[in-house]
Amino acid sequence: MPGARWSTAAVRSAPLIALLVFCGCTADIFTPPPKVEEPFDPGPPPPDPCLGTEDELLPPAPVPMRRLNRAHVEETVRSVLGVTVALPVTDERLFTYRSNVSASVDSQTVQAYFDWAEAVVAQLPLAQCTAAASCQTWLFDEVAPLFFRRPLEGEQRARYVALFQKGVMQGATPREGAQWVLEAMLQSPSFLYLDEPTTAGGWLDGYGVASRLSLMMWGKNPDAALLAKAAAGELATTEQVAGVVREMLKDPKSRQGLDAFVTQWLDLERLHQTNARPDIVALGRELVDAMAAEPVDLFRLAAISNQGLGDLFSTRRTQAAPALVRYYGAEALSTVDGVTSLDPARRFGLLTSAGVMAALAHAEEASPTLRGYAVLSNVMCKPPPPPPAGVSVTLPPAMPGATTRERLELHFSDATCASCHRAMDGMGFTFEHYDALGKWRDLEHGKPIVDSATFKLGTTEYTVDGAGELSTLLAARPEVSECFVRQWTRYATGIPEQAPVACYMKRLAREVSTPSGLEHVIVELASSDYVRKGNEP
Amino acid sequence: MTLTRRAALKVGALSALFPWATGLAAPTPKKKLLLYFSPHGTIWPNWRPTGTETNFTLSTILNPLEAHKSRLSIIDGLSLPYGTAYYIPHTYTMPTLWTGSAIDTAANQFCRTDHMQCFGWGTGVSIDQHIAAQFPAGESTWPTIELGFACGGDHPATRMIYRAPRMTKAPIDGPARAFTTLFSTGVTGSPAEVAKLNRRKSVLDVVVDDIGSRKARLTPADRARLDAHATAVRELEMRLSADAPMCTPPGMPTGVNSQTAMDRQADLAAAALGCGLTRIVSMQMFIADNDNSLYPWLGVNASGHHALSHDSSAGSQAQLTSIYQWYSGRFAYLLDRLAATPDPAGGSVLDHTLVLWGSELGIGWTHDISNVPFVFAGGPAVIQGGRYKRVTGTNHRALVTALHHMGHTTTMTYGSLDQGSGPLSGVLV
Repeated sequence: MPGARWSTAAVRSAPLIALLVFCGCTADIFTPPPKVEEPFDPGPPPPDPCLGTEDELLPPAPVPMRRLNRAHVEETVRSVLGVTVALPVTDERLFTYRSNVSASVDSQTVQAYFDWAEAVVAQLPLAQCTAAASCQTWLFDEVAPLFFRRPLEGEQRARYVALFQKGVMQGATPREGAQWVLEAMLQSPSFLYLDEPTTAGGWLDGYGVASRLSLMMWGKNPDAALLAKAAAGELATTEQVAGVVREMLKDPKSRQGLDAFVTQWLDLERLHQTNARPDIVALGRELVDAMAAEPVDLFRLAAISNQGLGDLFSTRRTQAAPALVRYYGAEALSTVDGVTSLDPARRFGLLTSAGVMAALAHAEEASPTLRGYAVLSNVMCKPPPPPPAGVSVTLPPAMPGATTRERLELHFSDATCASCHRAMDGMGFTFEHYDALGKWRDLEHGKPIVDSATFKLGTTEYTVDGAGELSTLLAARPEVSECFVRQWTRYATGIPEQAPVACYMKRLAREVSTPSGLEHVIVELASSDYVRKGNEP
Repeated sequence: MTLTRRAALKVGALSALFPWATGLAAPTPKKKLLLYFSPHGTIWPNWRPTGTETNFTLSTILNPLEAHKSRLSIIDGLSLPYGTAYYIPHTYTMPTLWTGSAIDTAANQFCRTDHMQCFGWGTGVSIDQHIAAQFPAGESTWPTIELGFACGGDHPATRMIYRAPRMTKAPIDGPARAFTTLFSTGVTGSPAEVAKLNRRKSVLDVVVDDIGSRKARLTPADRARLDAHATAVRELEMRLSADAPMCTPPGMPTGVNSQTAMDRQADLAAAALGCGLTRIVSMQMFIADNDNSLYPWLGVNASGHHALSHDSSAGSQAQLTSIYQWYSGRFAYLLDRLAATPDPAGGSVLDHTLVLWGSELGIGWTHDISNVPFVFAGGPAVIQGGRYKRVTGTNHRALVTALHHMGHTTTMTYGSLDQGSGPLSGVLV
């Protein structure tokens, strides 16, 4: 094995990549500047500081001890015990992703886990526990590894056996013993925190690898089959892990993990802000759920059917639920085997799906600003700065019956506002055919929709004719590929991306838009040293 | 109402238990503290009273406090320094408000890509936790109680209470959860309860012991996180085996929505102080950064408080004023409840409590922190009421004033950013 070229200290103190790039709206957002007469020409490739770094060893991701997210806990309990009880604890947000790596559990959070554990156990019929022997086998050999992500052994097993016996003594039934044991397991640090011991060379053990893969791909703990692979030493090499991740992606359980990613990436939680969006609530639960699910299924379908990132911005094949197919109306051209083809003149993949468009709007009012901001921030990783303090965000009064676009163009009358809003609102204008609920519209206030926009990014002016052209532009931009890889890495590792793997991530970004690129990047990162190595001090 | 029984109720000693004596002599009054937060500062021209220190008229925003005017000391002139090279408005002053210490900008747990900045948690300890840490063991069921509504996920902009550097305490978010947490524990001694307590203790002992079964070595920071977790579990065990409060617990809160939630939390805060469950409460309304709560009952149906605070139009400023005025109404309701709740030592809870209301900003519009509104409230034995005081200094003077009220009378500075000394003059009695 070649010597590692990454010192631990360098990794620890490494600033984020995010800090190394871009500042302000007027910074050169697209690099290098394309020629004006060929607006979408990416120009010559920039000199590559990563040349010759391909063989360098990746350092481990410096992930602190992670506590499971609320959704991880709830989903694991649902899988293992078959009950769903909402867990009243909050998560930390890093960038946009939930990841509990720094907050400590305080007294009210402990109380919340405690009350929740008792509520879960109170719902269990515990039919497995009519006899003490079979009950213990079930608890300690089946259930415990599903919660603790590794076998229950040694002193810890003895502790749980003793707890079981105490419960049986007091309650005079094995069922009571099981209740005590399960209440303890549900709030045990062995369940709530990842435990990631490393072997010589810094590698995670098989259970540690299984746990990371499962939280990433399935949004919950490993199942018995994955734990069996860990036990058998079948998660030890890059090739083994890559093969397993491919299977995990195809497994229907990956819907849960990808849901967590896509929902947080694209801010789809906005669809469930019932207080702010009575118009969405009025659509009814079935349709809203279908709208929230569609972008996730679109992403998953692309990932498992050999597509690249660029395809996400153009695909018209969607696994929309029946309520959403009805909502699309005439735009849904045909449905075969659960896959619906949408009108290629009106829908252009992920960004124009009804759920994404509805999430990026205000109640009863489409928001080009929100939509443009989301493209810049989430898809390009170049968020404009917040409005400077003391600058009025009030638009001058608009003429009655003015369109959204006519009102927002008043942003441009003020030079301070215009510096950011020309790009933000300009990108947003290309989505003007989609109303606040993601429906196609040809008119607003009786006036025809205008969805072509000219905006400056950096020093270059672009003219884009509608969401289709914007999607085509985005699909071809290297920044979009780089941003996607950064987003996925943040989600998958639970920490912001780190500078020492910048070249590695650039390489992934080049690969993500090739055929099968999405699956390739997911598999490649999950099986990399960055993920398979631990961070033990 | 009598005192909460404080004697430890040991399961094995049950047989020796006798019905609790009634007619105890009135105990020595215990001083109490309540910290209150509302977001995004104020609009000064509509907040600032007119007149002199002792003869003044309340303005539009503070007008709901008219009935409590004699119990108020309104402070105009304290700044809220943040002590870092860069300033992210809202976020960097939330951790300093009650700690007087800066946010940790060397850490990179949280990042704001729009500001190109990363940061961690606050580096100080909030005064409530500092005071509670020095209470004698078993002083009360809860060393402190944190209540709130719509306080968001775990983030430096959403947490104001620090138990230790980088270790926050989250408020109990919402009255329903607060009620079950505060008023559903405690035992009276029936066999079924003894059995339940035995089960819970056995379960929690295993939970704590499981920390010792970790296989991986830990960084000091992660070790501290697990230690804090273990401490919190042990505190839970103590609460579970504490006696049930001898006061009448309040009923389960009903009719809770975003308009009523803080009032229902105020009911529970007053009850908790009155029942002797704690001596220190903090209450947090919404979050410091980008709070976009809607106020449909005030006609604020879109865009929310934070967005409005950047809007200089007359209509928006009027809406903002009505939001700040509504906050005053919530604060007034809290004072109503504290004044109406008997204290175990006689008089009302408010007679023994210093209430301190602050915000993370002075002006939402400009993110100004050179003057941040603070209001003190308390009974006649606590503060010199009916005062409107123009002062100069930093939030530390308010913090030290609160420390003096709670008996820390030799403390003159608090927090790493404190460059002054002593309490505010003429506030405490």
